[in-house]
Amino acid sequence: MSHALRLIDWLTRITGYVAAFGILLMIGVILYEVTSRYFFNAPTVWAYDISYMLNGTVIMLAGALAMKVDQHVVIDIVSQVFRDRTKRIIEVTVFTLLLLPALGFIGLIAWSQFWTAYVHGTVETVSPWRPVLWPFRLMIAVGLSILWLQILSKTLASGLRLIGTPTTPAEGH
Amino acid sequence: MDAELAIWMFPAAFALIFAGIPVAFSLIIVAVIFAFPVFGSLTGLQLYQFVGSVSSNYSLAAVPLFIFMGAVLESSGIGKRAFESLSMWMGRLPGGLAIATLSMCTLFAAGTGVVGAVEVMTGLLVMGPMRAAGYSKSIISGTICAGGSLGTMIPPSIVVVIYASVAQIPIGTLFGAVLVPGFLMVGFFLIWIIVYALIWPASAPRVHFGQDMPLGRKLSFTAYALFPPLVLVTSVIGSILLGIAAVTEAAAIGAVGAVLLNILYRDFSWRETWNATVKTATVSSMIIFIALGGTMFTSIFKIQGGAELVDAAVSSLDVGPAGLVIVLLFAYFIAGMILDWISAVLICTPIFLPFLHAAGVDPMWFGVLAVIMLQTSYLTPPMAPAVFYLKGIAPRDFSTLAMYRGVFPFILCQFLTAAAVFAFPEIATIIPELMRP
Repeated sequence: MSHALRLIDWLTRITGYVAAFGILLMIGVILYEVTSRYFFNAPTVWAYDISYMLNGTVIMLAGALAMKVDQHVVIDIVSQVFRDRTKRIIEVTVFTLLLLPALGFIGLIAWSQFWTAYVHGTVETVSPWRPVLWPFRLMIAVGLSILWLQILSKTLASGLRLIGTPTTPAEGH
Repeated sequence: MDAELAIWMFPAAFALIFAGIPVAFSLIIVAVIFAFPVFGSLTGLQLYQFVGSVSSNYSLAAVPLFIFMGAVLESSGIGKRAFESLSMWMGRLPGGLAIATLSMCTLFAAGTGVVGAVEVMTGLLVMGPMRAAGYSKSIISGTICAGGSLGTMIPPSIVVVIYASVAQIPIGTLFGAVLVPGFLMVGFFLIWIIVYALIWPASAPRVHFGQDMPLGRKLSFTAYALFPPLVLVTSVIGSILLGIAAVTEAAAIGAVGAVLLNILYRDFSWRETWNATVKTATVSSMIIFIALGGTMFTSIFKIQGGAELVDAAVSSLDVGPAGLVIVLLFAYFIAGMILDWISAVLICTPIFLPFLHAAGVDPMWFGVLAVIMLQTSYLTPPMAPAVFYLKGIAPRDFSTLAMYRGVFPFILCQFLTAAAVFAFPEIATIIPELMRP
């Protein structure tokens, strides 16, 4: 079990770092476009599509790391009066019964949309560059899946603590 | 359409949010559950459409870029030097250190992509010198909280980017619209500080920093400390307002410029820059996941017939356009108090926009007012995030009451700004009109 949790944390970290690298890449792409447009009068056809796809990729891939480091906004004006155990019970229940199924459902569709785009070689038709869509869709599917796994790992860790099993080192911060 | 279900969407979402579930996920859960009755077997595809459209929104790419710019600036020594040089010149004015603090915050408004980050940075920087000079706890608290809240108003503000993209106003235009009101607000803040310092000179004394420094050294230090960041911030905002660069492009240039400044000042470190990049990734992801949840939630609320519900509620109020604007702004204020800014914008705006259109209200002018309301709710007790951040960094002898007392006049200044924009819409519309080619 703790091996699985550690693997999930490792994946979360790796995708988070890939996302961070994506930001630097996005800055590079936009600067390249600005330079070639203003100084060489040669706008690229691909910079627009690549930038929004990189942005989407960054957002999706960093979702799990944001979850892991508790970056997602929580409103605690009511829940701060609950005892820790109560908070944990609520979290485990909501995550297991609602959040994991809901995100899992969207994640499955994301994979099937990736597969459809991959098999049919679907292209983005509104763009003059007409890029193939599957790599972007793959990133969305990967990001949602790792977020799902990270939530699963948090839920398991909380659940284990609730039933009194000694906590695993994998859930450290 | 059966509006019965729509009634339950808000209680369901708030139940989850107040139970301590992250806002983004609370919204997504409720949206998914309530999507099934409308879309049936197409639910999955419809939900995926939302994911696709939010994650491929080009103007939202400005969000990580501005956050990166802010995170890099904030991790550098630029703020410290700016404060030192500003207090050298302004220190001898009544309330001089408070004035220098607010001026630095105006310059650093770019850094507030991360809520509370500039407030914490400013607080750590100015608390010591202000206490040593004998400033009262309330004026210290008020200045830091008010200065830290300026990032909502002064471009490039993430809140403005999000509002503009939801309301489908060009981001650059809305940046132009908040500019004059933003500086007006800073003006009211400064007036209050000076008035306070004139009435209670002992609580906000003049200081004489660097008075034995020769004028030439002073000038060269100021040029060194202030000029480069000033050039960076004005060129980023200026190129947007003048229409030279698209917002996303200006943001990318600002991001690189911030790193270059760090290199120039020898503040650069690979580790700090990489940490800022990772932080940017997670913060942007958090923001855009709320955008995703908010889009799903409000779209499905409308399809469920929620729009008619709100319509009925609004028309039963029977207030004119002006009354409508006040009611909706009050809703933003309350939403900003109980939620965070971004969720408040993303939940209120799509639902309110149709009423603004129907009543003939300019969504850009309204946006400026809404942003002021959100900024005010950040300062307003008892649930003021500004005060919570301040408590995190203030010495123990700062009582909550002193903080509230200090913040209160600044809240009045913000309402005064809102009232001015409400009474004279030109304050908001003048720059966008000049920007029109």
